[in-house]
Amino acid sequence: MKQARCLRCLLLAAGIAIIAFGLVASPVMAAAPAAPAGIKVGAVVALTGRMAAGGKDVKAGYDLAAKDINDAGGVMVKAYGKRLPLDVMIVDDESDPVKTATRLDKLNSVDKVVAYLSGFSSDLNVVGMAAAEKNKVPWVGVTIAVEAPFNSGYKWVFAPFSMSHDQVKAFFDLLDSIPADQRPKKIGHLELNVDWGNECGKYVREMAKQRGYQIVVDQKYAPPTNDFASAILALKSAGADAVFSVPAPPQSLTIVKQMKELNYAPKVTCLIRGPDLSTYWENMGKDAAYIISDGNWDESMTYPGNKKLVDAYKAANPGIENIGIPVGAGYAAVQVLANAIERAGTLDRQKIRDAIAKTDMMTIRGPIKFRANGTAVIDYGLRQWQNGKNVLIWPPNATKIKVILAPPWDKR
Amino acid sequence: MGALLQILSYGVFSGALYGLVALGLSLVFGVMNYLNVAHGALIMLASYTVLWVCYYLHFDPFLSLILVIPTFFVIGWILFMGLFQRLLALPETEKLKNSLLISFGILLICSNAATMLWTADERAVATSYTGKVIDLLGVRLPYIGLATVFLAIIVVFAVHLFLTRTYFGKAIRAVSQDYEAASWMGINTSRACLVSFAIGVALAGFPGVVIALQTFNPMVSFDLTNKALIVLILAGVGSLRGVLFGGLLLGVVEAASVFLVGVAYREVVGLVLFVLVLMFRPQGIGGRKA
Amino acid sequence: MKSKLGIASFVLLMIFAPLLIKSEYLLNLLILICLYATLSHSWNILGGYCGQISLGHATFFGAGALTFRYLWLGGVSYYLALPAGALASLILAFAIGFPSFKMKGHYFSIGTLALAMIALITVQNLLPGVSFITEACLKEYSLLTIYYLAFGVGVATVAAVYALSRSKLGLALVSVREDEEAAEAIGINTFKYKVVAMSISTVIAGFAGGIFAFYCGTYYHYAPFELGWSFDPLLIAFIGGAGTVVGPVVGAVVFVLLKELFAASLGQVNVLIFGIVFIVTVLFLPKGLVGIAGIVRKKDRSART
Repeated sequence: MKQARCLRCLLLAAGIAIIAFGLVASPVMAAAPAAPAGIKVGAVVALTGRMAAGGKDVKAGYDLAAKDINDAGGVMVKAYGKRLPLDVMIVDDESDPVKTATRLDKLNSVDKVVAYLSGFSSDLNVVGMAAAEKNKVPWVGVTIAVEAPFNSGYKWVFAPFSMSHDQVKAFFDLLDSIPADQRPKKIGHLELNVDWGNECGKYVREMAKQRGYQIVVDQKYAPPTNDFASAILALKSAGADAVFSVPAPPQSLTIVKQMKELNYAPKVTCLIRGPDLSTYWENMGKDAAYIISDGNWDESMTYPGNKKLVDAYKAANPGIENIGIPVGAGYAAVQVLANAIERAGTLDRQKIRDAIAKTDMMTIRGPIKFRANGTAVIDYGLRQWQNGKNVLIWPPNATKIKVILAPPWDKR
Repeated sequence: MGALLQILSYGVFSGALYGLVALGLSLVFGVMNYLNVAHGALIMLASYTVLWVCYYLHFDPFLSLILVIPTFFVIGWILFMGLFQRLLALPETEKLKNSLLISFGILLICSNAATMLWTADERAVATSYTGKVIDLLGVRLPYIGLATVFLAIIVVFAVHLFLTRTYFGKAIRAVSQDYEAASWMGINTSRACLVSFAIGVALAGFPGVVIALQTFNPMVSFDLTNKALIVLILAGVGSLRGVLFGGLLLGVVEAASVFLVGVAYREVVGLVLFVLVLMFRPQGIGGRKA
Repeated sequence: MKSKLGIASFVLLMIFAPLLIKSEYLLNLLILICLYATLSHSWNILGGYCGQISLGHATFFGAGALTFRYLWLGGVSYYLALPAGALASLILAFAIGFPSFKMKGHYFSIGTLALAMIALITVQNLLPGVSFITEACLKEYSLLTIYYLAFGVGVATVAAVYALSRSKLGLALVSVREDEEAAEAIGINTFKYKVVAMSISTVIAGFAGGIFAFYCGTYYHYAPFELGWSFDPLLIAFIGGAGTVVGPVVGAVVFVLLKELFAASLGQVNVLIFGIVFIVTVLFLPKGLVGIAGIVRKKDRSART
């Protein structure tokens, strides 16, 4: 009997807790947005956990973009006849996809955001895309490079970001641009066994065939792999002189360290992810030289507004020499969204969605248009570490710096 | 043949690191039955401390140990006095459970604090000898890998000597064998536990420096703890030399498995080996009967 | 009698809750509470009652999720796919769970952790892609349905654990927990009871996995195999009170609401603050939150005498 009473007490306490939570939350819900003070845009970004490194960059991009837009008076919304400030609400998801889903639902149902911005990494963004589709909230996302989600019939998702096809194509375009007598001919491909890596693998095999390159090594590895000795020995004995892979950041360090230890120096080493991190040179010293990686956005880009972003970021983060790519990509995503809201002239989600689909604008990272499936027609670049700086080497219309082929380790 | 030896040599290097990672955990678990799952987080913090010492004082990473080890000894001392001491009086299973929960909380706090202090960016300490090798009959042995193996052997040997040759070490062993009997014999058991806990935490410095030379971020704490737990059990509870052998076995099997199943299933092979060992020899390789 | 009334009114309140509060967000939280309470109870039967501390529950949770997802996206309706997931999880338990009882004490704990890691890496390798919710399934997707399903499973689980705790079987499980050798000496077949506890536990974990797969629109196949799904139910059970009927429920409410509150208000430090609160709870309430009720009761009693 005593125990039963306890049980009742606790159940009651639990019930009260839930209802109290409801009461705390309900005033927020009750406030009807008759004359909104601002345009609410929501993002669930990993600020803690495994994805926090990129998450902080994405957040920095959003914050800087919102600040610039609001300093200029905000976004003109015709329906209200005035400029409204952007209110970007950013919530942490602990890099846990379940929390991403729940907290996006909260931004939808409690905060009534008019659009979502993405979080960081494909793992969490695919969850966000499904939430956007379910809640019918337009989603503008960066740091997702897998095409598959965009081919599943979703209507509310847009990514002003490069996809696996762009990345592999840039790699082969770069190879093609090298004079024929020095051009690598034997390609080694290390395929990270995740959907993005698999997609890249498909394109690598296709394009190598079309353009007359020979793939001499084609091996799969998993996200936790931390010893590449066997793969590097295989590359070395097959004589591969160009290597392509999309490793996880820690793997990008291990691969290059082991290449040096095993005295293997291909002319071109393209590791899309990892070496793009701002700390790569600090971590690797001059061994980072000649490594090629993602160049989705670069400080040196001369598109309007880019220099302002770079200066603002460096002023806010003194001591940081290389700015992470998600900063620029995130900034551009906010530009795309603000531009679409202005053209829609209302805060109606459906109309904003339609306006995003018709985007044709210049951003700090170049012109952006969307295909029917939500992926972007976008310039894609590659960067190479040269003398301690990660410089843009591709595409030729955006940079004058040329790729340098890597010499053997003992000649560095 | 050359390739085989080359690949196995990498297995030995990572195996030695696994041994170092599990050492402190094993000491603490053996002496007072605390499952300190925060050990991985302490190693991660040690790596960041090494990074700091190298950056601000321009020390060599291995030299930085003279600062890192005492620092972590003090951290261990504080953690024990503040949180773990009050668990000593609990019965065995309660000890295990409560230490697990408290150290899990510490794991969360450390990882989050490291994210805020140093950001979640990937880090590593670059040295002049990173990537340098000794060429031994065509097998290239990196300096850092060799240093890891030497470090593991020396540290395990030193801890072993401390426990078997010094009076204080003998007291700690007595406590680990029978807590109550030891206290009847006049051993200050709680002091013995305090010192061995502090030493256990200080031992996080050694794998910390090796990991600092490879690559790390705040989230490696979880992977390191998992690895340490596996090696701890593989070696057998309370067997410090077993830890080194267990680590080496795991490392070499993982490396060799590349020939059987390819790179993608490397870690699975190690874990399956682990489960099989437990099935047929539940007390681990070098452990006493549970 | 009174307590039955109390419970009945609580259940009724929860049934009508979504109609009263009409907030999708709160519905989400209620679903999560039900999901975590169910999963935590699944762990509680094996860990709290039978004393076998498993660190590998994600394996069974994941198996349930995987099976549910395949059937549901393949066109099977969710009320059939859900028990199928639970069944798959049970079959997996027969294959890998029961042999693990050869390991005892902390060897069992870390052995199951190794199993969870094997499952995670294998699923990552075999199914590297995303499980997309299809257009057809998106039409079937409704938070209200999921809530009632999760709530139903949760209530059934709590009822089952309540019945178990009052039965002879429950007593036998506790005797295995308290002293395995002594239990064996008085003629209790400890292996049999461990197997029974594991069976019930994995079936419930499979149900919880199915609810996860129903609730989460699109996710990577390996997501329900992540090690967090092994640790969270354990934390929740200990926060609330392991080896009790209400403990995991109270634990789940506190766990979900606290994390939500911290994430919404504290930004990047939320995990750190949660860690501190967690340690303080463990230090001062070694029996979990249900321990408060015990303290209150003791005071109550001393006041009366």
